[in-house]
Amino acid sequence: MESNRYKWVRRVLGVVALLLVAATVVLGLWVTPPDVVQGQLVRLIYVHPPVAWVAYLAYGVTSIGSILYLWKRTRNIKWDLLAASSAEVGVIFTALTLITGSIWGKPAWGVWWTWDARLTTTALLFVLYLGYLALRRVPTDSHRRAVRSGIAGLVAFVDVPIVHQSVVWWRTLHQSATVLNATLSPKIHGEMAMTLLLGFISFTFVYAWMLMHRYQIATMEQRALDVELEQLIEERQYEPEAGSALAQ
Amino acid sequence: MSRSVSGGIGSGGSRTIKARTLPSKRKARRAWAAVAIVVLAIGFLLYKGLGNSLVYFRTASGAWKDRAQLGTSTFRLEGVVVPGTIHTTGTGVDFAVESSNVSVQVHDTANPPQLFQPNIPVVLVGHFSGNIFLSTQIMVKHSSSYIAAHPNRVATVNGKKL
Amino acid sequence: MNGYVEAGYISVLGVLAGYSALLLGRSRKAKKALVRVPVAEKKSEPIE
Repeated sequence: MESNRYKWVRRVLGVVALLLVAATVVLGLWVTPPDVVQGQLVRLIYVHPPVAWVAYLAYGVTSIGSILYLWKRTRNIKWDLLAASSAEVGVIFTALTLITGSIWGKPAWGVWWTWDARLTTTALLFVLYLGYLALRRVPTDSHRRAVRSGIAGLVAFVDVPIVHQSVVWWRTLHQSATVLNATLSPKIHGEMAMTLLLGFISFTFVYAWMLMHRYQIATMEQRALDVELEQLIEERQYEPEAGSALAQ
Repeated sequence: MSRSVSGGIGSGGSRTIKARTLPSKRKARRAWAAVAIVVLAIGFLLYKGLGNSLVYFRTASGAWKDRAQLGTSTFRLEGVVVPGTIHTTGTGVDFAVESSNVSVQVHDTANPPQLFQPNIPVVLVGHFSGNIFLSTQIMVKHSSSYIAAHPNRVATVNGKKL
Repeated sequence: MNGYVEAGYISVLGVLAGYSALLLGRSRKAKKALVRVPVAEKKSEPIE
């Protein structure tokens, strides 16, 4: 069913992710100092950019999976299942990006929400991948679903670089990138920078664990479907009179 | 329809699997409805984005130059709060914002957010009334720099320096 | 701290924990469904 090595890797990932997140929370909430301007609010910075990064990463994996399925030479249903699994985890992290951003925005900016380019394109990202997941629920055979959603996944990914560059391309209320900026010169220092980095690493581990788990569920469901199809074909062979109805 | 689609009374395992995997028209309709809702939401976001995000704000200097044609229309104005100009009024706060050495007098009638202070960039929602910008909302535009408030504090965990 | 910080951390940890629990539940269900298939195979029910 599931190879022992896969299970082992997943468990180790899970434990490491848990420890890293715990460390991030301790450092973020209690060890790091308050910010000169923001005070305690700066503590939300240790989670908000990391969860946004994981959303980008997840959608990147979805795109790679989509390409590998759409390309005939590497076509395998596993790539489609990987793409779908990653998209679902990505949607969770995009929701968290919007939630934590909003919670930070109210006290820091004075508003929960505003229609600036960064916020609008992020909301769009969330809805685009919800659409991807909705499209996958339309009943059809595995191949058509994979092609359809593969194309949808690649179209949706166009928004990821737009989200990232929105603070550069347009005037926004949202600040520009602290770490991943054009000159790659982080505008954050000392233990604050270390905690932010730890945040990036720990949520990436959480993502990896979730992806492995979700992918395993997807493969099991796919196998159940395959077995059932075989069973239906077999039944049809024994009961030819039921065949015409089943074929629909 | 066939027994597989109705998927009703068959016993145990066989029924659950059939009900789950076999395409039914109802399931398809529901799924397409979800896709349609998402498409509508995408349309709404694009409309909001094109209407607001492309020119999210006008700088104080740009708006001052165009104030004749802006008239009393509502827009977002951006500038840095000029130190020494902040006066709290009964209903809000009066101050000046500046960009490219042009400063605009602001009369605000809403509560400023907690980070509102001299030298911080703000985005104001409101309109011109003569030469004064009447603001109904102040948003603080935070910079992307983070500086520890107590750089000399030694942080320790279980006696170990971090 | 100031309410907002706590709310942010709680929502992140809460959503991640909730989704993890959901994954574990779905994984158990999918495993059960896979085990059930061979049983179903033997029990081909007559047509209504």
